[in-house]
Amino acid sequence: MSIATPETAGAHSHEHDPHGGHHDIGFIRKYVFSTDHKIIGIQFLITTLLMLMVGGALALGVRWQLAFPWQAMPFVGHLHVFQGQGGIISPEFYTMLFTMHATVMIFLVIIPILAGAFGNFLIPLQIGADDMAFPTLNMLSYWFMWPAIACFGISFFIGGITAGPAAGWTSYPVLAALATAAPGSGPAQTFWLLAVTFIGVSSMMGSVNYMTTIINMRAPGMTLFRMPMTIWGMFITAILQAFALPVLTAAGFMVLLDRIGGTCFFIPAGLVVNNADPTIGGGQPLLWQHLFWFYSHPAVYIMLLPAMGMVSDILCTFARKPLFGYKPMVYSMSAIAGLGFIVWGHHMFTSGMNPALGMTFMVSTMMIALPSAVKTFNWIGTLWGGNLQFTTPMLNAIAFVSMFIVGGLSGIFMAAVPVDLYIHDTYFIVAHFHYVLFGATLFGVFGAIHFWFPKMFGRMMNDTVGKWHFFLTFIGFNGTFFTMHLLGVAGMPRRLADPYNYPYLEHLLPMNQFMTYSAILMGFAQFLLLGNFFFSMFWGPKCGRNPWHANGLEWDAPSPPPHGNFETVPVVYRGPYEYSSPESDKDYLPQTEYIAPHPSPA
Amino acid sequence: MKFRNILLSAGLLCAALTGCGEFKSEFSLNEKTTNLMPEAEDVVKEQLHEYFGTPEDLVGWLKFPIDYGAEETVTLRVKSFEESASGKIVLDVAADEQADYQGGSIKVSEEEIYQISSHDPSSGTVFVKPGIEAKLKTGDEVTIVKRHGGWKLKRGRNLYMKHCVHCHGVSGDGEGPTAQYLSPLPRDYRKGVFKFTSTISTEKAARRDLAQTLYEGIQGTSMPSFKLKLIGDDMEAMVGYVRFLATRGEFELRLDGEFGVDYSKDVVTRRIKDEDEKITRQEIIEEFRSMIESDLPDLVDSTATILAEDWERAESPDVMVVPKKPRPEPTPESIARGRALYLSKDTKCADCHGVTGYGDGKQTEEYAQMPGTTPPITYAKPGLYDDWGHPIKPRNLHSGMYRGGRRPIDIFRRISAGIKGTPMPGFGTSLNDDGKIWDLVNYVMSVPYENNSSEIKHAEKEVAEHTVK
Amino acid sequence: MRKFWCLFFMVWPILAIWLCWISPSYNWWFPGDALWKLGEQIDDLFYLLLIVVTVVFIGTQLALGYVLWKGSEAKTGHAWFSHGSHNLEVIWTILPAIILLFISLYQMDVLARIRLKQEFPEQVANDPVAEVSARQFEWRIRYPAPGKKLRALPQPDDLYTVNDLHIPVGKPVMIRLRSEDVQHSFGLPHLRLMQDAVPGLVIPVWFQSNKVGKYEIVCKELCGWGHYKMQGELTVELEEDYNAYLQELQEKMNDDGYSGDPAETVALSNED
Repeated sequence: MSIATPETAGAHSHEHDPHGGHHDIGFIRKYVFSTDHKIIGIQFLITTLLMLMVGGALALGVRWQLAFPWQAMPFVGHLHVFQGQGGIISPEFYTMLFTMHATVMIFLVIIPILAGAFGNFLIPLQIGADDMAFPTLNMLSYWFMWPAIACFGISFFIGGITAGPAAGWTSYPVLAALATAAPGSGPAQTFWLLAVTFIGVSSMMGSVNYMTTIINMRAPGMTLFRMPMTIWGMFITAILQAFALPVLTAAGFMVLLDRIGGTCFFIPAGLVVNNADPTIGGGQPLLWQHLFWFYSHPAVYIMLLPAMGMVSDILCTFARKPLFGYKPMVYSMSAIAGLGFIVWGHHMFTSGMNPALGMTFMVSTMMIALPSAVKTFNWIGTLWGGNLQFTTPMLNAIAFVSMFIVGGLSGIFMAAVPVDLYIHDTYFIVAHFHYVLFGATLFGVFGAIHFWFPKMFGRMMNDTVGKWHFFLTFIGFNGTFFTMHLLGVAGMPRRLADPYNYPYLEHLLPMNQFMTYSAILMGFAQFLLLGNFFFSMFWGPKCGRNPWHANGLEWDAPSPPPHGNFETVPVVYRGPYEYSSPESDKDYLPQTEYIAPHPSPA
Repeated sequence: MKFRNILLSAGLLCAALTGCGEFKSEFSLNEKTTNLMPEAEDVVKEQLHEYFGTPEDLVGWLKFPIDYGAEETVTLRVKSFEESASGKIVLDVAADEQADYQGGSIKVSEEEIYQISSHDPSSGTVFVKPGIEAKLKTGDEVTIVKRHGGWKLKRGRNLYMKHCVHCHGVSGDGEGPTAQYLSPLPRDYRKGVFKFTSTISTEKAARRDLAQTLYEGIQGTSMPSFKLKLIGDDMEAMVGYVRFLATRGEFELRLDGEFGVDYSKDVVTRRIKDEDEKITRQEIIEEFRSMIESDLPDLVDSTATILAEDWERAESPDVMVVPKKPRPEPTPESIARGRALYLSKDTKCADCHGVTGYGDGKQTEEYAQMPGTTPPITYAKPGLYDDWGHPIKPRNLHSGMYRGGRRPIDIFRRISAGIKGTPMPGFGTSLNDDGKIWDLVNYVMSVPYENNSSEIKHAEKEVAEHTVK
Repeated sequence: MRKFWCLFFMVWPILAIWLCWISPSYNWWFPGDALWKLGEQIDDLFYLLLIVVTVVFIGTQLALGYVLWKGSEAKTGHAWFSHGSHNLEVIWTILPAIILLFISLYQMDVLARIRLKQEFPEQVANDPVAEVSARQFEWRIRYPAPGKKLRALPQPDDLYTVNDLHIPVGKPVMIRLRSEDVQHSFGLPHLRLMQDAVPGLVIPVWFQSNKVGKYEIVCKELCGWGHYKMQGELTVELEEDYNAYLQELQEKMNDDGYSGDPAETVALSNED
């Protein structure tokens, strides 16, 4: 992960060094086991981008099977391991593919790219601190991701390629708790659980750090309500993580105990799975679902709120306008977080949970749409009357809003229990969460990458390539996922290796083929992003401190900022979104710029 | 950056990807074949290839009693034919009730045969590729080949490749990719042995037995029911293909048996080392070649004949297990008699299934002998083994699961004919009294309800006396 | 180029709506009409949501398109310096809140009638027609003998089939749903219904079909590698056909293969 940085961050790190304590500490400590939040952020970013490609490749495997069931895979089908089965995707390989796709995308891409990459990079810069509160803890949070990646890798390959964890990313017991229940439920599942635990530890270290940093290390004048939305998003996410994650970790250990310790937290008595001896015990599989979703529903917001914050920043910058309704935005974000803790049951409407409980969860789930709606209206309000600049980050941010509308609205269908009885576990839900996690979050992340890249490396990314990447991804994305709503309404269940086994789904094959072509287009478009990213890192045009004419504190630091970030401790005079202020001739007014009070012109 | 080029190559790639979807698979060889010396292995390989082909290119050996599907044709008149659109022909389909020509071809004359690429049954329009050059006129007669010879075998193959291959493997060796995760393991057809049959203990499985297994599935295993998948012709085609694979495997095994005596790798090495025989590898190869030249056609022919006769005989009503008496009511008396028989020395049921029927008899703790080993070698782990060398457990009669079917006749057949390829013997000859077998059936069928029903309370008491340990 | 992007963001919602509009005619929509009243009500609720959602979708996307278009016009000087509007915030908080609350309360009734045990139709509340046991990867079905009631424990005269559930038409029925191994889900897309089969629980599920026919039973919860294979069939038939079916099944379950003349006793189970 260190390859990238000597040219960039390093080149400037000696120019200004106001902190006498930062000596030259050698390559390894500086770029590999670095405690500098910026290096750690970039390490996270590059790691997660590579994982994004891995997850995407797994998704293409899934799409191949859905479009061309039981046909030999192109390229990979010729590998030796697939020869025994004629190069086709076997059913257990398929289950493993979608399990690992979700796992990689959620645990190794979305969560770490938001909190790990951008959280690390932006929090000290945007609040005017010289580093995180606990730099070593921060370094550990990155390096705890690698055991997780290793464990996922082991679980992937331990039983031969086709026997990875295959219980879905939700890993419902009994499927995930009994080694006999599925091909990958042996050691592979154990390593999967270990990996999730490592990721949990990594996120936990991050979230403790973020909370402390944001509360204690803000620059003078940086009151809570002068913080950029990004910081609010990171702050609330950190709180969510700190309170929800222990539940998952504990539940994960309970499954581990069930698997290797002989306990029966989740395993009822008398089950005969794959002809093994009947199980003993008196556990309850629904307990796992409660515990799992108690974490994983807030996790959905962990995967969304920071992106919402970053998009707010980008929209304001390129609309040259203040954020519409700053406080409502903050309150609605907090409301999402609060409500996020009492809606987990909507994943379990059909699970056999008490139906009366289902009704309660239905109301709370409907209500969580409200703050989301408020945010959307405010984003549109922000664009209203602005001087829009259609840069790559801006396009991605607008796509965020546009896609988030779809993802939010389709969620209402699932929140309504009777309708959910029909569309639960169909492609409708797949469409919904891809619109939220890819359509919203990932477009937000693409925007953020283009937006803060100059700050990270002191160079600009190519705008044309960026726009092509956006254009192709957007088209591929909608081609792939919008159609999934229709599949869902047509009743096509998710996670079927061969849906056409059911006569009432046979006619959906051509549509699935169209979706696969779109997905392939989208997959290849990501090479543009990677190419642009790594090319610009070394050969992009150099930029100054504030290429976008933005207000945030981070733009006050050199690009890339040296170890210690700011030459002098910045003093904050106003909120981060004072664009087009009449107080200034420029159409932006940095947070640090002091304007002597003068009587307003009558 | 040239984005047009990138787009173009992405598009080409998409197009290329779809072209790569062809299914290429091959039959694998039995371990015994690969243990032969290379020359003998080649001969077996050649013979298999000649008489059975590859999964892509199957060969139907008419010697065997398998319905490969004969060619089906229909002669129709041309309604209209546009020369300009020279791929479109409208036919008068009134003469044909089942006008489905998808995948068929059109025969204008003996030499000119065209593949039908698409077909609209309602209007009788067919499209061919490439376009027809011959001059057709309205009223001309053409022959439509609705189904090519061997269609049934091919259909069986296609169905097998979709539904069965990931467990049972391309060659029916029970070694598909999924197989390793299953318990019990999927059947290896290559011995030609199927467990649950309606035929007497010395005979093979009849078509109806394979069909029943496909239809009902095997409860308690990973074999699902295919009754919703294999409808009409498909069931027959599938049974045919399974038999095709079984015959192929057995044919291979028999050739291996013939050649293995003198020409397996081990034997050849031993012979070369042997002082008395004084033979070199070259001489062994020559000896083998001359043997092949003189004997192979006869060997192949006789092997095939034996196999064909075996399979044919299984269909005969003479070898079917049919009770000579109706099932008596499962009265407490009958059940008690069955219980007594179950415990008796004549049947020794309890040795495996246990005194209480939990499948925990004393044999499950003894070391079984590997078949065909002299001096006898026992398996490393105690318990029972089937003919494929896999450990198996005697049925727990309390589970209420009957793999070969739960009708009285099914259980009667299990007891009378045994379960083939397993240590469960047939009692049809040894007991030689259908009344006794029925008593056993009644007892076995009562075991799952020993503890729960008031309606058979009386019988339950009777049974209970014996079950107290 | 600025206008291009405005159009770009406006065109895709139009395409999306057009796609939804044409999809019923391409059969990319519900698999046929719902077979019972509550199913129809579920469809109605779906359409209600669809209308609300479509209006909001069009409204927001139009608003987005509008502000983009206005904002893309070349302007000199500063953008509108506004920090928001308190009144607007109040309006767009209260209004959606009312709509959402209405939607969730409006759904309660159907949910209660499908799921709450005390709302089950009286004639089926304690009288299941069959026990459906899910196992990897099939549906095992147990009926009581004709004229008897289904007991919790298996009885010697119970009737068994696999993947093949028969019910009488036009009459509410209740099944006991259980799982023998992992979690499955009993899905009836044509009835707009699903219920997970949870190991260790027996869950009563009631439904009714007003139309004769054969419909798929779908496993909707990942249950292992063969999840996709787990297809069952729901046969809805006239009361007399249903009784005849049970009678026939009973005969089959008691088949002892004896008919006096051995030549005629070829008992082929797949000759339905």
